[in-house]
Amino acid sequence: MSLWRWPAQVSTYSYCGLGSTGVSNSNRQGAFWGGRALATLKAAYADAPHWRGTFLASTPAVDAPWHLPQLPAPTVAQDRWTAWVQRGRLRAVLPWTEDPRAFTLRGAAHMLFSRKNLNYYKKVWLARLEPTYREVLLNFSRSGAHENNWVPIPHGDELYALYTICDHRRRGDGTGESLVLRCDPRSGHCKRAFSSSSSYPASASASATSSSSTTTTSTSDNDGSRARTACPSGLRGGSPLVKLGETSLVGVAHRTLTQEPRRSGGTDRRYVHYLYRLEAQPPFRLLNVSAAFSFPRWFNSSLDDIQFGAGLARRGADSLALSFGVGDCAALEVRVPVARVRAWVGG
Amino acid sequence: MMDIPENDGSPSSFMRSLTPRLLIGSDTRALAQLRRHLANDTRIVSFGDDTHVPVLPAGGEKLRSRTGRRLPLGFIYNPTLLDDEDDGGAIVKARANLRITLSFCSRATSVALTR
Repeated sequence: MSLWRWPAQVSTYSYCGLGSTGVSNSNRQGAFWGGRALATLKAAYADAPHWRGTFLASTPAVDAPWHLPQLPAPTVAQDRWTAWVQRGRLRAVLPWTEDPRAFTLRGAAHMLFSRKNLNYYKKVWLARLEPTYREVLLNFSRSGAHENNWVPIPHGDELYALYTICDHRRRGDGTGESLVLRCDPRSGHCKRAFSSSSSYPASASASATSSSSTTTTSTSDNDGSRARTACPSGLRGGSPLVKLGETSLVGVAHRTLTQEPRRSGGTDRRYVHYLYRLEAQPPFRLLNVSAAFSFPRWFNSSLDDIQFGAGLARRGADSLALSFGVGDCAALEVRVPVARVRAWVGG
Repeated sequence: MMDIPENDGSPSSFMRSLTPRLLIGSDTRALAQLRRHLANDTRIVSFGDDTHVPVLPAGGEKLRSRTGRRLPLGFIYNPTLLDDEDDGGAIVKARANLRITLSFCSRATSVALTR
């Protein structure tokens, strides 16, 4: 048996490595000590009594040997960890978990997360974090080889997951499908619970289409005269959902646009984000989507093309905190007045 | 490239006007805890397959689950997260007097080492 030793000093650790972006080993978002590196990719706030003042953060390998090619992972690609920080204290570091979405279910802290297998296909997992850790793969009959970006919707003692926000591929009529699953936290088995059109017809009551097991009912969306934005195809979940008023939830979603890579390097993808509003009750019908936005630039380089809104939480009565990652290496937060959000998505 | 208007009260122009706050990094308390965990409470364990080079430096045992299944690498730093009732859960004494608790979750991806 051979012994692997961490070099005394690591001076070349870089996680912000999208081409020649100029963001190199200094990794100003990370923390270095004794040759070990911690860099936070994304911070994921959540808004639930259990999680108040807490966040989960995706980090690259905290103790970095998994990045070395001669150390293959046995079953999963081990390049993401989650640090669970609660009221400033580290509660746990959870290996091989990416893009955590925290929520409270049946009084216990949970998270949905993604995990890559050795082929770098992602699957969605559910973890109960307390009182004892337990995780289960979430499976849905329609799941593909690559699954991520499910959004947890805890409701009473039930766990729902927003599978698609507006998937235009599933419908042949030019409208998008919003699909909600009901998942068994014990077995991980998920079933189709509700689906509805996300086409925003003039009459809200006409927009929902009945789905497999549950009759869809219409509710007033209190939108006033606000104009609705068409739901863009390819919209995917990002953050957990936060209550907006008594009858609706709001979340941050994203989609990727393709672009020509810059001559100086960078990526051919660019992320844009949207706020969206759902009914707070089953069938969690999609009510509105904001115009597209990008988070503030941080690096002033092509790294800023890779943004990911991973967290959302109330901060007082009048403000929302949006946490997001930039360049897969910086975890940042902005505050947005609730009034602004209402102006963008209604409610 | 999507055409996003500027300075018009839209989500895009508003967001771009904000100054983001860097998270963690400045959270020295949590970072200090994490550092202690890394420095004191964790070691890398080999599970009998030399292609997985890391070992417990002080001479850890080759670890198998109760069912004899070879275990992969992994850590959980908080012993309260452990669930011995999970399939294959095991407690192993290593020669260095490290108490090694294995939480063998549904896909065998969690192993904990605690002092």
